[in-house]
Amino acid sequence: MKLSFNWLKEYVDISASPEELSEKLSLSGTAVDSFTKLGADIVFELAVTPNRGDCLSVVGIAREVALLFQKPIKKLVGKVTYKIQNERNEHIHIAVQDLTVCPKFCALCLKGVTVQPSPLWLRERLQTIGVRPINNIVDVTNYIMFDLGQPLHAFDAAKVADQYIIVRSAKNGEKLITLDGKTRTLDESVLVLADTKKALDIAGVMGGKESEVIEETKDIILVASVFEPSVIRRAYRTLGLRTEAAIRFEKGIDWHNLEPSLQKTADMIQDVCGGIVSIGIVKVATKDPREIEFDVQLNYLNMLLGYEIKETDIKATLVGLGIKISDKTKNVFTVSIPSWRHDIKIPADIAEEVGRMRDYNAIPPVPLNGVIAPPPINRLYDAKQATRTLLASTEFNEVYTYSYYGKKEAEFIGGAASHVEVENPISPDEQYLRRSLIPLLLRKASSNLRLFDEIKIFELGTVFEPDSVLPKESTMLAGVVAYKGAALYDLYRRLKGHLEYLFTELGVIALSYKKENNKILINREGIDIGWIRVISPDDEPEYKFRQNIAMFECAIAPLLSQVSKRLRFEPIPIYPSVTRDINFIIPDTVRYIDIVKITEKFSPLLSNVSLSDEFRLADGRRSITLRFVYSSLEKTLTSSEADAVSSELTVLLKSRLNFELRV
Amino acid sequence: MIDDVAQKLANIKTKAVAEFFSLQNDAEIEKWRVKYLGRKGALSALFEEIGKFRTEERQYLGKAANELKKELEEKLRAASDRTKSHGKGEESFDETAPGIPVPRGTKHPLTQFTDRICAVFTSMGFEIVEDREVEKVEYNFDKLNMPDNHPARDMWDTFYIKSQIPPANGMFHEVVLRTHTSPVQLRAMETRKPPVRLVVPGRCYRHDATDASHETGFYQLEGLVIDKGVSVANMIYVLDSVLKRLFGNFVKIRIRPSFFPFVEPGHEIDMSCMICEQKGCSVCSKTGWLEMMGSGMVHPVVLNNMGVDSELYTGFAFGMGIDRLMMLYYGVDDIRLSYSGDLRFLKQF
Repeated sequence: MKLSFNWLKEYVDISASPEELSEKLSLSGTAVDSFTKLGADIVFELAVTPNRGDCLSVVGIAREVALLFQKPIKKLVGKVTYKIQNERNEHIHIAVQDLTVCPKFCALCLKGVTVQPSPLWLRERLQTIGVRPINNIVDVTNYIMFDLGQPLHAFDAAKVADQYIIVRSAKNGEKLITLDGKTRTLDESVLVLADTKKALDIAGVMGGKESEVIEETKDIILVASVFEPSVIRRAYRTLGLRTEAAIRFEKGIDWHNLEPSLQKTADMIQDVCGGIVSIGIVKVATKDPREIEFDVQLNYLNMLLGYEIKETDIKATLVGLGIKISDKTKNVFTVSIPSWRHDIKIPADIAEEVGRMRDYNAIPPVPLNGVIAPPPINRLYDAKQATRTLLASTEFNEVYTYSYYGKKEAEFIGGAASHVEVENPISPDEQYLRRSLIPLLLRKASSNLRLFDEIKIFELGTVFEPDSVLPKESTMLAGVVAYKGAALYDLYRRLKGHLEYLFTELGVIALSYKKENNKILINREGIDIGWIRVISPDDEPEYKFRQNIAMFECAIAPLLSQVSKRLRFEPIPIYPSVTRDINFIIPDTVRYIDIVKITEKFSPLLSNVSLSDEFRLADGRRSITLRFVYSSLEKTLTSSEADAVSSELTVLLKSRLNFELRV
Repeated sequence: MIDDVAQKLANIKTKAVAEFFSLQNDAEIEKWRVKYLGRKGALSALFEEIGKFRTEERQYLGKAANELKKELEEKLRAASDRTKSHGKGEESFDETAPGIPVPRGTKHPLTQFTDRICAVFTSMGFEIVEDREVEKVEYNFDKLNMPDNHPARDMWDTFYIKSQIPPANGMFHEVVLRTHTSPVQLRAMETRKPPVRLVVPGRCYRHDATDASHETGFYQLEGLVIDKGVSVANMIYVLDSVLKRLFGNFVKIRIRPSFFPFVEPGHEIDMSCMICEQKGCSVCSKTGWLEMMGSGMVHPVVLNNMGVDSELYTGFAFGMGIDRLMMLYYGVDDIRLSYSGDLRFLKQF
């Protein structure tokens, strides 16, 4: 909101520099984003918080400034001298269909106005705050809105059928052409001002074109109202018409400001445009609402702020804001909130008034006091942290991708229909909540591989699966690995090596790997927790890879489900071991797991078996080198003793798995 | 006869020892070895001769010859060690050549920065809590003192989720992508009683046009402290400590009143601009201050919604944008880089 310095100074005479004013206002809750010199004036750009509807006017800011600078504020509104009658006088008849949505409605008739451009001072003042001048009547009503905070509207009285205005709900489908020339179709949730024949104005939002004040207008009807804030808010949001009037109504209007605003407007119109007020104000209203009152404890204020402020200072601040105080007991006083403040309802609100007006930066910081105990453990969080550290320390780079993707990626994972969908996405590429981290990770892999020969990337993130009301959310770990010129099997073994390292370090045991369709499933105790896939460029042309790629994805939570096996020390062997490397030619159908099954409990003297080499012979046969380590707890094994076990084992491998010794 | 061999042995010994001391390098040592200890060397020939004697004499001479052989082998070993220990070490090479790189991976800068913040809070006994990203509107707005059609909801542009399955009991829940991590605090308080100290890091979403300073998905860290007698002064202390730990002891903070529906009083916390040392620069828009986070005393309505008696307990809450703070810390100029997956960016950290 723009504020004119000169305009402000009409209410409170301060000699402060614009810097000083900016600083003081910002530190009291009304942020000043900037200020600029404009002719002989200075314009401030204020950011008023949504709870301070009262600050959307010069008068509202003036109240704040007066207290901040300890200056008197000049008379805000003149006394109302016009006669106030109920419902009607000779020139105008008003009505309200539902007082719960429009508890107060006032109107005033002026006859014999001369509509023309406003005088220069008025045009300039409006332009200073970014408002376009229209004609003297409209300009005065706008002036009053920014001056006193009361939105007003002027109708051409000749266009108001039967001199009757009612505040009622629109009929479903009722149409109205607004001041901007657009035709609006309304429904019964929207309030309108109407005459006996049709709607004239969208209440609280914008007037109608037909009844607007134009050059030919001779008589006008001014209206001022109080509306139920949520009704106006709903109306302007439905219509997409967020006007200056609407934002003031949705934040709450000062009940007692209507008649004085009408008075000031009428006086100003008479000065500027001629014309005579006809008789006076007509009003339809409920009983004047009682002021909000509640008790405040002094020690609560001091406790909440964490600072002892003198009682006299507290009360002086509150009184300066227009809050009435009456003492109840030594510690308790009752506050009575002025009608322009809709945001003060509870003692915490009073604490804020005191705190903000007295500079929070003056409060000495105080450390927290309490029970010292280690905070509860968050196992999933710790597992995620450990995973990141382990992967980063083995050359992986962590990547973050979006939580949503488009149709193409959704097709990669079960199709769009199986995804949670965003109703109002920013773009079609961000429409489906991801069910897997892989589609976007593959895209990142592809673009990075244009610049790097090798990549190892991972992401830890949330995926979403449709469920009843809220989707099921799981934390997944996924990654993509590529080495220049790597064959598929080699790529797979390297990635698997990384995963085995990760799982071991996380304390996860008993994992098995099994091919199923085009994936290798990672299984733990009967549950599939993830998968690995190695592809050549042709397998996924969508991603335009130029080399073999290995990818994996697994869920983190199932890794936590078992108490991890605690490492146990194994006594260091006293006697040296004997190692035998034996080369075999083996059938393609043999799985390493089959070898493990045979060797693991073969002999107490066989302490370790590992695969030390593997390759294809020129004739295509598969050759492996198994390293057997033999040792005894009781003595040094001799060569021949080791050889004996080796022979037995070889015989077994030959007979069970069709191994051949390679010579 | 036997004396001849004994004499030959003595000669070999004398010569071998004498020659040994004048050996200069590996090549010469090798020559000497071949000459005396090699297959066709002096000792080898002598052993052949000894082999022709009768047993007693053979044993006597053989023993002497073996002793000499051992002695010469000792010398040979010592010589190898010597050349090893003073030749290679002084070999000249370019000491300024770069070390062979040790491959390193990286955690994402947002992870690193979040970890740094969480570490400060953990040191003050704060628990780390995480929860769902898709939330019911009740948790994202209503229970945070923002009922339906309240102007405060305008402060957040929201992504809505299309509901797929009609609810069984007919009650329609609006579902959104959370606009802040505050709903997690509500859920956390369903299973906790004061005193409570927790921080909630997590991804949040705003329906905003994307540019160098705005992304639709971004990271926040919020915190909550509830106990008896918790005050604004406590809040200032905690937040001041955290910012000093993160950015250095020399930073100053400034508290400005502000408004959030779920706190009362509400504040904005600014920190002195460490880039220009408050002289004014483009980062701090010439003000000398950087906006760091929002905070305030938890609104009694929200405390009650958390099942906490607002007559007995008070609390403070705060929230900061991790992306923005990380970018300030490292000098990153575009928020979208964090989500680009570009290794030229990620490998820098």
